[in-house]
Amino acid sequence: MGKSDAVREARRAREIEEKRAREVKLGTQRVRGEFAQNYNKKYYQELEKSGRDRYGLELQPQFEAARRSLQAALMRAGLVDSSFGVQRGDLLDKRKIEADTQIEDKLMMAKQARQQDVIGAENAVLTQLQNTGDQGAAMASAAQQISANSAMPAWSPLGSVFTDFMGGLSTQAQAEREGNARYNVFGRIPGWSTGRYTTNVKG
Amino acid sequence: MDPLTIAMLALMAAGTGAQYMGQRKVDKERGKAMAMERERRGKLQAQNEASARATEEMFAKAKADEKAKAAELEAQYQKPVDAPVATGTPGEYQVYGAGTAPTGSVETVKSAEQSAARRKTYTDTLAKLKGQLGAFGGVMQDLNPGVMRNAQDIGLNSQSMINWNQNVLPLQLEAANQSGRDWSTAGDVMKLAAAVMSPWALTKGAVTGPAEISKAEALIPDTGGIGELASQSLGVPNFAGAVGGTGLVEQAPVLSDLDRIFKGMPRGMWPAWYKKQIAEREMTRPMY
Repeated sequence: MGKSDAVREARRAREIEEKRAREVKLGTQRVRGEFAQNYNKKYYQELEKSGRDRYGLELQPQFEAARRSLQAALMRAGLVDSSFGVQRGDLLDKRKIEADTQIEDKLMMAKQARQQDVIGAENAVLTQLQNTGDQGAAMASAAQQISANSAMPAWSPLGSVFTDFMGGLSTQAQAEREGNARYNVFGRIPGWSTGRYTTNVKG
Repeated sequence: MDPLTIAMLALMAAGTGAQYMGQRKVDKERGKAMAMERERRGKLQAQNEASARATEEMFAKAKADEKAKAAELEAQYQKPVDAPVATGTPGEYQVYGAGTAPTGSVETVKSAEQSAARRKTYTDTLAKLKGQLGAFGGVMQDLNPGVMRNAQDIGLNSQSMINWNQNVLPLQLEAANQSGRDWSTAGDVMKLAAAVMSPWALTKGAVTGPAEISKAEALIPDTGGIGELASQSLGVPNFAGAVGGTGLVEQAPVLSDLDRIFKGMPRGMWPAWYKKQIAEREMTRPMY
């Protein structure tokens, strides 16, 4: 290689590398801007809302059904106005609180998983940009990644939350149907001793 | 001293000087290229350090953020608890909740109120514990994008440095190496000229002419063969075979002068023919 050739080659290599570095820098800014615009606070709030709505639709009817079943069972047993009724209601509400907590856990996990996916996607795009120095290709890749991560998560079903609770009530109803459930009729009235029972519900 | 000898020595000195100048220029250009490289590396290093410091600062205030995050999560987990009321609507299918109490029984309502209070305490405690439990992870999760970006920045700079070292720096150093080529070539030419001149400049043949020298030297095999040297250098036939042993010694070569001059120089500066001559002499030296 001649002297002038060497100088020319060095200049060309420097220009190419400087151009590439400029492309990578600008591309990085654009890719980050694009991701930041798509995955902002509002997006994550909507994600949470979507999950809350979805689980709300699943949990609320279950809760209502369980409450009505409890009410009916207590009425059949003549325990509507009783401490026992309050305790059972308390238990039902506790189950509901646990289910709500479980839902919040799920929402948080889904949000964190999405954040991780977004970070991973951004990183993948930037790695590609770094290797190719091609801003256009990186932006196309960013659009694909954003599109892939824009759908709301597939929320896993909550399942039957009050199964155990309802099980007890079903057993009670079955016992009533068979005439095996006996309730103290006047037990709660002072002066009326135990020993008088009714199977007040049949069938 | 013979003028030709002086000219030869002057040429050799000039050649050495030119080569020194060439090397000096190369050193200067290489130094310039390396200085630019150091500056570039320093800038990238400073940027990387700034990114690392930013990450460090984010983690440094994570502890303070943890408290706020715990409160945020606590609020998220907090669920309202329905308080019972003292009067209810008989016949409504609700034990309590949604603002109704079972019936008008004071005891029952009291019990429901206590139960609601317990539930509230349970909910509050659960929410608080959940908040505290998730706070660290939540803060780390919030920091993650920033940390990741700082790491990406460092990675980008490192890659840039690697690319530069692989693709640009070698060519810049090559260009620097070539920068002293003019001087170096001039030095080579001068040394070559001096080498060509040396048989005449360093012997009496300079006065009498190469053909006569070679004739004379060819007859003295033990002297180191200056005639052979002359014939090799100038393409003059060595007629040792033709006239060998006839005793036509007219002029003895002044080998001692040659040795005195060259042995005073570094071996690297000896002309090739002289090196060869020395090697041959060493090979043919009798062993005792």
